[in-house]
Amino acid sequence: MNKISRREFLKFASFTAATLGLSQSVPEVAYALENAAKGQPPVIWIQGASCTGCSISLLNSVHPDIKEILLEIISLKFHPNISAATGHVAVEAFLGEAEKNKGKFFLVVEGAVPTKDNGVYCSIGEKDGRELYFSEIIKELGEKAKAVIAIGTCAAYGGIPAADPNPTGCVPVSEVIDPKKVLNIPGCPPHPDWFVGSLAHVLLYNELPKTDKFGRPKMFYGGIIHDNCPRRQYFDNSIFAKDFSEPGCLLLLGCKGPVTYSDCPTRLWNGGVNWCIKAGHPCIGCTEPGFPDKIGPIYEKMPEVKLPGISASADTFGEVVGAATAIGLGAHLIGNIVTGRLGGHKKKDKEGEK
Amino acid sequence: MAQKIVVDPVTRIEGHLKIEVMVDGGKVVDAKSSGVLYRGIETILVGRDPRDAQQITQRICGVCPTAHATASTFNLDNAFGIQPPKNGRILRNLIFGANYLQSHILHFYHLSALDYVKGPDASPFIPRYEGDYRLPNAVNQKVVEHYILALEMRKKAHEMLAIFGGKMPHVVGIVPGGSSETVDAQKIIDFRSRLKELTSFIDNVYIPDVLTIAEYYKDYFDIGRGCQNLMSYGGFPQSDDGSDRFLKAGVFLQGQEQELNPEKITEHLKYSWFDDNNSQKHPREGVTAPKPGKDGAYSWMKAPRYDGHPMEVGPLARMWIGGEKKVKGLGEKAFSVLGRHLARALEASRVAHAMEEWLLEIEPGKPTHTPFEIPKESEGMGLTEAPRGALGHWIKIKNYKIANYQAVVPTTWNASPRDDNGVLGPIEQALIGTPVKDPENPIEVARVVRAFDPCLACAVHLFTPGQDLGKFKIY
Amino acid sequence: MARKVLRHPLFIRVTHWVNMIAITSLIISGFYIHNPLKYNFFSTMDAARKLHFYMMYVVMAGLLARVYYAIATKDYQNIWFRFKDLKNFPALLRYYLFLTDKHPNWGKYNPGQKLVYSGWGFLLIIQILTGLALYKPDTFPTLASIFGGLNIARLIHYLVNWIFVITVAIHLYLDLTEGLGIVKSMFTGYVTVDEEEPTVVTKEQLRQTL
Repeated sequence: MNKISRREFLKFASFTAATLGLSQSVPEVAYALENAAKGQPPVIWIQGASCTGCSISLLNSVHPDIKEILLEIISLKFHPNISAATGHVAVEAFLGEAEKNKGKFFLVVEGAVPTKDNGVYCSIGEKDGRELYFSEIIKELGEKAKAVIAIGTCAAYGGIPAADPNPTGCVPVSEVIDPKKVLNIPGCPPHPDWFVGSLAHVLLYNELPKTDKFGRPKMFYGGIIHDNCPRRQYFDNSIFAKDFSEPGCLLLLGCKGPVTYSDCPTRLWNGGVNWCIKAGHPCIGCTEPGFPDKIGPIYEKMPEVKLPGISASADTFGEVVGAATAIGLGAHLIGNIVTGRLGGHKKKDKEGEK
Repeated sequence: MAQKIVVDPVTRIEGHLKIEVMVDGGKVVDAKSSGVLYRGIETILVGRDPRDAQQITQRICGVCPTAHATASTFNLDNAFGIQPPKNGRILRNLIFGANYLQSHILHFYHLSALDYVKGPDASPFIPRYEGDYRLPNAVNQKVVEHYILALEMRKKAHEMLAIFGGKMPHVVGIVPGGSSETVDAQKIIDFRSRLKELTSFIDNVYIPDVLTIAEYYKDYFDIGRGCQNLMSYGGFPQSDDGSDRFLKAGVFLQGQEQELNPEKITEHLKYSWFDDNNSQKHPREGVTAPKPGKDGAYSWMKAPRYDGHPMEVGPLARMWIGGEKKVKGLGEKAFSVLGRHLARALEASRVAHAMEEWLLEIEPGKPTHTPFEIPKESEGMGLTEAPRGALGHWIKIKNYKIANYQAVVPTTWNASPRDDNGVLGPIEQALIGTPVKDPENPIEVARVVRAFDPCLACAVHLFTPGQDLGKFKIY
Repeated sequence: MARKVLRHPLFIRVTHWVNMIAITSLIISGFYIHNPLKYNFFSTMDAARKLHFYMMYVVMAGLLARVYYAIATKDYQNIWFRFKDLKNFPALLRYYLFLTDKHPNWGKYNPGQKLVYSGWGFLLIIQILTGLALYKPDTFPTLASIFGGLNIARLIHYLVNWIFVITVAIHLYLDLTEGLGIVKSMFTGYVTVDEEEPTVVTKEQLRQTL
């Protein structure tokens, strides 16, 4: 430690305070945080077969930012990445708070629910020497919750872990908890506004926002990307990009904009900086049920046609069947000529009749 | 008598982790760590379009998807036989670099700091392990304030990343052959403006905060020693063929610095539920033949070894191998909880300053992407350094589809079980000897584990499920 | 003794040719919309889509009119494929595979024709539903969800299109090779037949056949 002296540190620290003007506001923040819990709706956030991307995405929220969300909008009782609690303290936190706020708290579930082999593939803690399997815990918490928000495509529809061959038997949250209670916020990850906005709707109007048949709020998933795409003119005028980083419509690079419900083109990502299509990359359809299987392959327009023993792209499938028909008709025509049947089944004795 | 303490779940890391330690005489004498989520991403990848690997492997981890994007594109570039143009290489480095900054800031403030700093008495800062919080009130409050400020900063890092990466988490800007984005002066100046703000934060807030904590927790320079073998694959290519890297590749083995030879990597299986006959093979030849219930085995994680030795990977390894004076100056004390935090902070500063230089190397108007075709059959390897350490992807392509995909991730190195010779993995070694004052609040254990920045979703995705397995344990 | 018989009334002839124009345009513009570089039949996507949408309305109207006519005039008895028609398939196949020269009289249409023509009605409904889902995704989001998402709707729309391409080709081929007289009747309405071989089948005759 002798290499970095305390004096050096103090120099750093005072410089910091001066440059960033921080020191004055410290008590204010602490005060606000201490009051945060009072009167705000309790939220318990748990993760199953997830990658934490949805949580990280929420941290990117701009208006309100994550500070405001935590200080003024919700009382986050438990979050696996944010909470100070760890170990048995964490288990007590989410189980205890759920009991204490029964019927009042919002349960946010990130990640799909592995159900194969009784759910051994995901455990979120240990209590009394017993593993708490995620599939069991969310049933328990789901029953006690006022409403359940399935954040991300994994929680909403199964997503990546449920992709073929679904090694761990992952299912969406709505298959484990009463779907009437569940609001889906799909996206891989979802835009922070989609979560925050939906939550705001629930808090302001005390009801779940109107959803489509896939349980997504229409306010965010009401239109398709293609209809609002800034590259739409390229599509209408048939100017197509043949490679990444080219101008033009990205349809032929596998863009799922025409089949994907989301407001990405108008909302933009990461504080309005950019989004997939603006960055020259096709939309991958991450808000759609069946992502990535029914909406993939990512760089092909359509999913593969899978029949027993056959797996081919829709194009190949159509073309092969079309070609087979053409060959069949050609062969039949030769047969017709050879047998002298050409002209119809009654022509032999009716030649010349008109 | 030894007492068993279970920390489950270990929160504020990526993924699902459980730690079990045996404490005797106030010190840890044995340690077990278990990854408790399995998704099987590699199984899912088989049979898919090779290009999809770039998007799907990112979903292994939402904290550092760019690392998997980078490793998988290096891997695919290699398999497709292509090289990105200069601009493409730089854009990839800038995107990945931005996430380095984000990841290091997030790790220190939002994942680790609460082990040392007492947050306000409100959710989500309570409940917590009580006890050993040593910062005086004023200092403590300042770091809490920086915790909030760091939230803003890491968000800025993601915004900066999205300028070239499209969106974050899960970027689209890193693709085989280069980047999908284009460059112009406006994007460069936009990026630079945010970068300067972040650089200032890292140099003037982040590094001083690490030093502050070091001031009050000096004993953590002696806790968490570990195996003291270090390895880096090298990160951020500075030449278009990828050979010259900003973060140097290398190995520090038993006190000797060596050149990295990826052929020396083997995977030991004696303590893993896999067939012993496949032990000590290179990951490329690795066979995953599960043998649940194998005698003496206790883990679904293989034990990767370099030249037969456990290796620590991560910022400490990179800074040591890269010759960072402030880290090497600490001598043996660098191999410690605080040494790791300090190396991480210094690395953030290094990368941030280098990124400014990279921005100036961009040649606007020049291509960012090399077109490619998928070969019918091919093999590839992609090595890079994730924020958490050495990350390698391997692919086999057959009939234009993925025939096999393997990823050996940083946490597999750090959290590996014992090898065929019975030598403990780096985190296990680091835990041994850790003092535990209050078994009800084993905060010391959490501090040691978190200093490695474990990413369990990454590590545990590898396991192949057996028939009647109870769970996945790293003993 | 031969005589002229009205095989195709004016209404049938008009709807037939309108449908023919509409479906052909839909197939061609559809291929362009699917892959404009491979099937380069149009100048712009806008033009192809406009034609596709105009013809969509035409084919919807055509289908409605044809169904109405079939019900109103009991013409469905001629065209509707029934389960019972299945048992006539082996005989038809034997004929088409040149195993026999016998072409039994099944009425106005043989079982193969009945299957294809009834099938077209069904497939058109599928195409209209998937097409509408893709055409107005904002207006009909529920429609898309019936098929499991727009991408699946798109796949179905594309594959069913291939069924149309194939069946239209077979239809065209058999008409041209089996009897130009019948092709002609689609223009004139009349066909020349033997007394003993009625082409318009009455209910009673139908019952005897089945």
